Amino acid sequence: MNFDQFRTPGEGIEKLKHLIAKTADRDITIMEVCGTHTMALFRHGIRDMIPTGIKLLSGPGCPVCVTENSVIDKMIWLAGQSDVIVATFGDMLRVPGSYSSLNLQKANGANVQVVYSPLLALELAKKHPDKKVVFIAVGFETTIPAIAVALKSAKQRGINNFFVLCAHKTVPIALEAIAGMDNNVDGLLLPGHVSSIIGANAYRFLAEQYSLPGVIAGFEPLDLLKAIYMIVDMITSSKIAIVNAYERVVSDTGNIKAQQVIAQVFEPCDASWRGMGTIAGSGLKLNEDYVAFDIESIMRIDIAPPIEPAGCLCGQILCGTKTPPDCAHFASKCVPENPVGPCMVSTEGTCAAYYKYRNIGGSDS
Amino acid sequence: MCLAAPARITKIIDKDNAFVDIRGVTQKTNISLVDINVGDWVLIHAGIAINTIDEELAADALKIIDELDVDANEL
Ligand code: SF4
Repeated sequence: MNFDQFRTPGEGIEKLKHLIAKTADRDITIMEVCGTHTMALFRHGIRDMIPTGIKLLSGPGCPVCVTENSVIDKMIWLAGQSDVIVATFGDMLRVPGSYSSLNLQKANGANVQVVYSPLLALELAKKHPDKKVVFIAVGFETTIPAIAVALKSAKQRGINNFFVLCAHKTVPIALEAIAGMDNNVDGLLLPGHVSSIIGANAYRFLAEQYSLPGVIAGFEPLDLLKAIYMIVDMITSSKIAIVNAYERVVSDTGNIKAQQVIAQVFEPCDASWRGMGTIAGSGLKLNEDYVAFDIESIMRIDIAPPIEPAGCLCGQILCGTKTPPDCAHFASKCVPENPVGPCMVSTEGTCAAYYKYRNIGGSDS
Repeated sequence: MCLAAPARITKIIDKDNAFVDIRGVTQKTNISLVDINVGDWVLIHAGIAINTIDEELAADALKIIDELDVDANEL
């Protein structure tokens, strides 16, 4: 199978563009929940292919961006401990905390290792039995299974110098909060890979209880245009539902094995989202069987009260009430090389996406 | 961060691990969360296969778009 066919320019794309333009009889605001979608929409030029009346807003789906400053400060504090190696996804390195960033700490000699998998962080722990290796566990349902697998393996193999700083968040409950906000969102472009784990059924309540339509989409041009067309069609014909348009990867019930492994290691907890505050039940913490792997169960992390970057609108941008050009720092004081807020750091951050593609459409929509 | 790459299973090492081909590069990956055989497509994220990719459903999706009823003169 050549999956590139989903991105080959051709008749399919032209047909979908035409159908969207023909169906959109009113102004419609669609929130793309997932940061990977934000980037894909810009990269493939989708914003320029749809009528100007269809507004695309980014949502709270960039795990780096929604991670609160207090977590960033904790991970920086950990990097400063002589018996700790901080292992992290590369995305977290440049995020400015209240007082520093991991990158700055690393330049000053802190032991920070970038890994692309928590399983590699586990091997690092095995190699350095005299150190505590702390993996920065951020991310949504896409990433959580990998961390659960690593923790199960640590337990089975008796590797007891492997820990996590746990800041996981789960998507559906955050979307319920978005649905209840005053942000004019008419429909949701739902995340493809989070959905591959949790399944399409996890979102049905959004249509049933909040009359908010949503389409689960892949990341290629045909996937994105098809999903936008389906959302527009549901809104204009008043047939509100949750539709799965990424069938090749997503099922109604999701990956049951992955859900089981998550349930063996984690349990729900309240979580604090940047800009959205605390949302009950929207996070995961280690359960009783695994709590010994939580670095905060053995170390008291002593940080000063977090300070938010002055003037940064990331919080409002993540809720869909502001867009990057509304921020006075955007593209002046705040640029990817020298970010003021997290939405400019992550490659999937809304501000970074707007910055990168600011001269080729979409910067004001 | 939720980026995932399609990959094809080339060799199963044991019940938890396999070699996959990601756009020509061979990589070891954890397969404990998927039921797969050699030749199957999976999505890789953070060093593990998070799901399988159904080739038939992919082909169906392309076919449906092909068959969309749009007047050729309007394009
Ligand atoms: S441009 Fe920078 S300061 Fe402004 S909202 Fe985005 S990240 Fe924050």
